[in-house]
Amino acid sequence: MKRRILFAVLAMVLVAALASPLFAGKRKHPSKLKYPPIEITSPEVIDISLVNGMEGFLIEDHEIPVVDIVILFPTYFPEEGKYGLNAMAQWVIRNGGSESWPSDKLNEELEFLAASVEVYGGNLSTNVAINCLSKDLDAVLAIAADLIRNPVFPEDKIEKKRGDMLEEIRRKNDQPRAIAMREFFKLVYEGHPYGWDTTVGSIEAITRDDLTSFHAAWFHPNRAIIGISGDVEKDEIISKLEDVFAGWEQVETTIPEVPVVEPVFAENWNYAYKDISQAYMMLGHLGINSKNEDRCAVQVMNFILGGGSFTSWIVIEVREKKGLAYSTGSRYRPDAFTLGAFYAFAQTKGEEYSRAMQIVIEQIERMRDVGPTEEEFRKAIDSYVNSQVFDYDSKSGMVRRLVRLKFQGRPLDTPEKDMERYATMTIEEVKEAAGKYLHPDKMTFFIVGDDKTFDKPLSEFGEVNVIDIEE
Amino acid sequence: MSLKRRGLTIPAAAVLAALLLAAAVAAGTLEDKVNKFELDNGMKFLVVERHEAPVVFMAVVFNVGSANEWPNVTGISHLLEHMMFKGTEMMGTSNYKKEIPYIEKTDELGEKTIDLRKMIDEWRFEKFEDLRKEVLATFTDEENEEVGTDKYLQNKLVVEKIRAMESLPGDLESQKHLLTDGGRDYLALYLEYLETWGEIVRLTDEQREKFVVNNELWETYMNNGSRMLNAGTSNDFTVYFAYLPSNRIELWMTMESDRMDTPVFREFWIERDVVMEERRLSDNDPDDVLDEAFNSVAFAACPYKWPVLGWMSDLRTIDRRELADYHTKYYAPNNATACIVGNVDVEQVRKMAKKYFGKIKAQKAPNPVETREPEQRGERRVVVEHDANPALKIGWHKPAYPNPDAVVFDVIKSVLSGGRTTRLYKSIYEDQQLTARPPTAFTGPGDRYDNLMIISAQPRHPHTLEEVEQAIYVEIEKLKTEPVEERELQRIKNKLDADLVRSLGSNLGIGFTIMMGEIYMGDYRALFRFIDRIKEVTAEDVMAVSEKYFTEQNRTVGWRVQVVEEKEEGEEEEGEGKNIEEEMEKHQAAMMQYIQSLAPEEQMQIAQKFQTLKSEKEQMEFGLELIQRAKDAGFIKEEKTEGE
Repeated sequence: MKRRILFAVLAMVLVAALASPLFAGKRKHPSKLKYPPIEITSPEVIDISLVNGMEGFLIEDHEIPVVDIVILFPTYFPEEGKYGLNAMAQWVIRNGGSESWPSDKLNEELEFLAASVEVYGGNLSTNVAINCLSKDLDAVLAIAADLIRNPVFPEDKIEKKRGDMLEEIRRKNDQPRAIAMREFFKLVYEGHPYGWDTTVGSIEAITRDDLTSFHAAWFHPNRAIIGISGDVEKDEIISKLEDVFAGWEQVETTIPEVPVVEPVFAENWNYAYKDISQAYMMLGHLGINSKNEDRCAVQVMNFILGGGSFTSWIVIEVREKKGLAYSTGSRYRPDAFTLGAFYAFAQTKGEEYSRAMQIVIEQIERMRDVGPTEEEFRKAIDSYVNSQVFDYDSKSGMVRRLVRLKFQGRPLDTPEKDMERYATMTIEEVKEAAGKYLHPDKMTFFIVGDDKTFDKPLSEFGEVNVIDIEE
Repeated sequence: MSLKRRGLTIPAAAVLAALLLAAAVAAGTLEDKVNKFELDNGMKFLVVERHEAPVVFMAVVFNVGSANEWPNVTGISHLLEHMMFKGTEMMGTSNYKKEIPYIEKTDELGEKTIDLRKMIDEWRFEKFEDLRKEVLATFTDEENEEVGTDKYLQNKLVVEKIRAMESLPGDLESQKHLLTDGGRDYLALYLEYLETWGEIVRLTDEQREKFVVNNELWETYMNNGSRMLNAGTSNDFTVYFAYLPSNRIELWMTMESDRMDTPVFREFWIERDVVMEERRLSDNDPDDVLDEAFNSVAFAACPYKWPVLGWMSDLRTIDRRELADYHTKYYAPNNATACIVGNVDVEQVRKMAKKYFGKIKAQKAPNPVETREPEQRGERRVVVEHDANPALKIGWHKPAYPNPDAVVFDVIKSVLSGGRTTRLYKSIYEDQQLTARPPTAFTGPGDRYDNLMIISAQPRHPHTLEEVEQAIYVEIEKLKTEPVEERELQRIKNKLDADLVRSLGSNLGIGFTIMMGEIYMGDYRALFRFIDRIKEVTAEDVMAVSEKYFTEQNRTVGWRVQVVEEKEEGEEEEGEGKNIEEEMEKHQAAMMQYIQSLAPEEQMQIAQKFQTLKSEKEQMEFGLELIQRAKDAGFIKEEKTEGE
């Protein structure tokens, strides 16, 4: 009897539901939607440690028969007069091959197996990335290990890369966007290695000895950090790694500390000419270190200011309301070793550049002086908290993140701790961070474009330093 | 700055490369995992369950891109994609009904600006624009302060100042026909144009102030934790996608069905300006500049000839009503496919799909593009000048799927580029060192209709475009005369297999693979048959197809050469430059005689050298050198110049 009543009630509900506006094609506003809870589980991370001192992480994942490995070697800047050395070394290690695996043979073998071994990085680290089908792991790992330990640095490959890098210098002013980024960072980090750039002189000064010294200085197992994900068991991969790296000796080295950049803030205006119809603007100043306690608050602040794409002030004011630019916003990137940088950017037709720039400056001032509303703050926090699930979506991504954190000397549970910070953050913290870390009256401005098209001369804003980008 | 958010244009080649990167061992595995169903209104759904993480990739792709456009509306597909983020009757507004008068009024004014500009005509309009800029420069500090960044106030003040002028500056006053002609007062029309624009801005600001919730659609996705949120327009299709926590499926269903059903293209006239800025970005991007010139010459008839961004003059004349009609026609459910991959239950998706999308009315199917490219009968060449180092593209017309030859081109592409053992990499980049980056071979600009096999390369100084072009032909000729080695073919097949396996490891990989199969081939299953056929391609097939298509008559060559508009230097240098120019002008005829007297190889060398010179200064110096050589050879008689 009870069952019957239940059925009848259900049937009535169903009829009512079918007749309801929702079923007639009307939709509820998303704010009225309710979502079932979601369970976030992090895959198990296994610590790896080899007898030669190499350490790192493994996440086993047997969904597809592929293995992905990254090995990171911390490195350091060359002297300024040989800037570009690290990039050249990384390329020649991969493309010059080893005694047993000369370039052509190496490429033939890897490409036949549809596997990849790539060597890349920046100044402070060199990464060796290995990706292959798990059935080919032995073969590919042996090649990668040989390349890491015994690169031959052949002269012809060195000259090939030197020529390519000189051509890159010739082409460095082809794209306005590249000019804007490069010159802005040169200005903000003036006198610091972060502000260095390759020159014809620096590329020509690099010798084969420099490259072999680079390898000898930094490629040691006890400095390396390894990250593995994919279709492999822990014991199996450890024994394979011990095999291919057997006899590789540890060397105690110290890596110099990245110099501390002086946080000098002073307004300065810089301009470079290029024959284009738009002005590309970069404005900002030095920022914060990754270990700064206020990092998460600064991130939320910048998300609202210009980092949260279409939800952020700069994009709404410059692009959505005034239609002045396609690409605009701001970034506040912390740096793990010294101070990172804050910058806002916009590109607009020359005759509107001063309006666009004025609006961007106003938004930065507004953030510093007024700060976000409670609603804006809440939405930004929601965005961070709700997207946490993506921290665990890609196993290779997770492993690479751990390798990076270890390299930077930061806690491995940073993502989890960050989530706790976001969940408990108050709007006051964000406002304080804005007041403390934004300096709209002391920014570095860089504009590339054709000042003949500008609606008003840049000199109206301040004394202009004209930069010759051809140099 | 590198991440392009919504509104990006997708080069079809990149997409197709990604999809064929994904190929076939596990054809069985992936093909079996796809659940395909169709609603009564014709909307298709592709669903793949993958429960690795509590996330889901959700996309809807419309069967429309710039290839569906026609003259006067090029760029409308991409503009529509931008406008799709402006909200609906429910989203992005606090009261849609009250917005209607604003939308109607700004439409009326916007259409008026289009008409006024047409009446004024571009050549007059440009002159008046210069006048406006001159007036802007005369604003006092107080006036600037008062106007601020408000376009309405700015235009108002400009118009006032021009009206108050007793006489107009420059050549405007003397060229009466500029101002009035045939009884029309063109300056008055221009001032009306400025005022009308000011009014559009003022009304849109008011509408926004009172009713608009800025970017609510985008913001709602973001607040709900969405990542990889984006949209893109290509020649062949338009796609909207979001990566979401898997408990948010209903959110996606709500918002995507809502904007398919009842979008509101509010703030149209302002967003059109954003798209014009994007268009200008392209004008300043050397690679886009070459692409546009190249495509516009390679195609005589096929709509692949115009850029996805459209032409500026068309963007200026598209109005909101045209856009709305375009939406009704092409964003109908029967022209759409949804693709959902991740932690979902197929049955639940089916129910929700029916509930949210099922009631949207189907439309008459849009006409497919029927224009076919006529046979090319002779090489086409195009040179485009830009302030950037030289680059080139070579393209040959080729058929698209399902023509069996299209499959062979996929193999040819992988023989030529895409790895360190490929032909262009080894020969052009590594051995001859003619380029600083390996040349690339790909198909494009779209992939649905007969298209091009394209090779793109940038010479490394001091090598020239001519040298690189010739070296590429040498490799192309080899394809016709020497069979591709078995091992080369096997390598390509191995890569196809491995890459499909790799794509199975991510929701996005799976999603894009099946979605593009559906778009380019009409059915995702066809993609797997296509991959099977790639694996059957033989060395003889490659030779036969190369012989048939890689001909001089069938190719188009685009060169980008560097032309620098030098900045105004100090007087001294300018003076110097001027002297050289004068001297060159004076000796022009003699120099021509001298150059013509040289052996053809020497003439070629001079031409090649000139083309590699980067700056005007270098060119001037070379000019001087030539004058000297002509003098030495007796073609120019020495004469004393003043001051010497």
